[in-house]
Amino acid sequence: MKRVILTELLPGMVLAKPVTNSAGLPVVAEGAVLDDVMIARFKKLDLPSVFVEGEAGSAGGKTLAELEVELEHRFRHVCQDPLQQTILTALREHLHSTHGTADLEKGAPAS
Amino acid sequence: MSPSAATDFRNRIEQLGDLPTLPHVVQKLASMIGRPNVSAEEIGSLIEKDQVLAAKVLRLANSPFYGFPSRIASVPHAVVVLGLNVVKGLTLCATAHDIMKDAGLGQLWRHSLGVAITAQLLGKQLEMKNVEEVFVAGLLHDIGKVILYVKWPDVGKKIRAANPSGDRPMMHVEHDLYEVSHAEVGGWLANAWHLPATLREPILFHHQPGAAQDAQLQTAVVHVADVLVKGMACGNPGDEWVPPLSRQAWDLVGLDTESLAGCISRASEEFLAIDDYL
Repeated sequence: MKRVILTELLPGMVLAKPVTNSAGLPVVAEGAVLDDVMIARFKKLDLPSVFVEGEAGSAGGKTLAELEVELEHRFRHVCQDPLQQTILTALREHLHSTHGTADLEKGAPAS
Repeated sequence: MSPSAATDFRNRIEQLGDLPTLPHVVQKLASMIGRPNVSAEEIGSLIEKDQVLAAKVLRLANSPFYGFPSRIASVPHAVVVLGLNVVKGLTLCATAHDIMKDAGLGQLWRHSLGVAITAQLLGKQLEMKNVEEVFVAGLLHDIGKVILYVKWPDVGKKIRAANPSGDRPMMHVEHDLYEVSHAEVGGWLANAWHLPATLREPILFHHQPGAAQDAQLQTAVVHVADVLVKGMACGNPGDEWVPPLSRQAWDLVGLDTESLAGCISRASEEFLAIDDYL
């Protein structure tokens, strides 16, 4: 089970916990397969995030390779600085340690 | 824009006492805290008059980020445990949170919470005395953006329009157009709210920590935390890339490879709980 913020929800994800409205009443039951209509409804409910099935850490269903590209892109203006390189390396290693296994299980490339 | 833009902004900030979104309680609190003999009881009961605000302060004070073993059940208790400046800061945070949420700036709040959490982790590592204060400094560091982009939508609109691809640092665009940045606007606001240097300088100098005078360490901690959190992409403060890092601030914080890795891994664990506070 993992927590996914609304903007990263994708059709096809499976709810791991029921979604409730502000009064605490269930709106969609656990096990429901998300579609665009449901995701739009969640956005109207002003929910911060929902729980869906899947490995924690595989953010928004992105692969490790995609996350690494995004990481390097964020550092694009400061990558000449050796200090920032140190931070970038540490963040890359963190990504590998938290996402490596989950991606290997899904058969995605590990680098 | 005329050269008087900065002066005009400053005047507007100084009149912010009239802000409808700045609760009467917060204004009263600001003046009360300036008094030398004010008691925790007095401050606490003033905040408790506004029940919504009191609930928000208690919610933040009881958040897992602080990790107090027992529940803080009243605002006077929070004042005793957290200190006056922290409670005052939390009151402002609760207000800022409302403004950000109403304006659809949830991502800015997420970024601010991320910086607060990371600054607190760094503060603990440095064995700083008042880590709650750097947490609040982190929460408030981008408060100037709330003013520029929410309170003055005409200003925010122009800044965004001048940077459609988001590829330039917002700060440079703000400077080009108005000769001030969100950091300076935040600093003026901190002044108007009579915040102590330990909160004002991290807000004012979070992009140029070398300029801090009375709160160099707090400013360095918030600066480094801001860079790390942007690297980790926790929330989106408006421009989604990592800003330049001050070597001086980095050295003050003194992270080695091992402590950097530890900080990143602890911060990312705590980020998972952020959604509960959005």
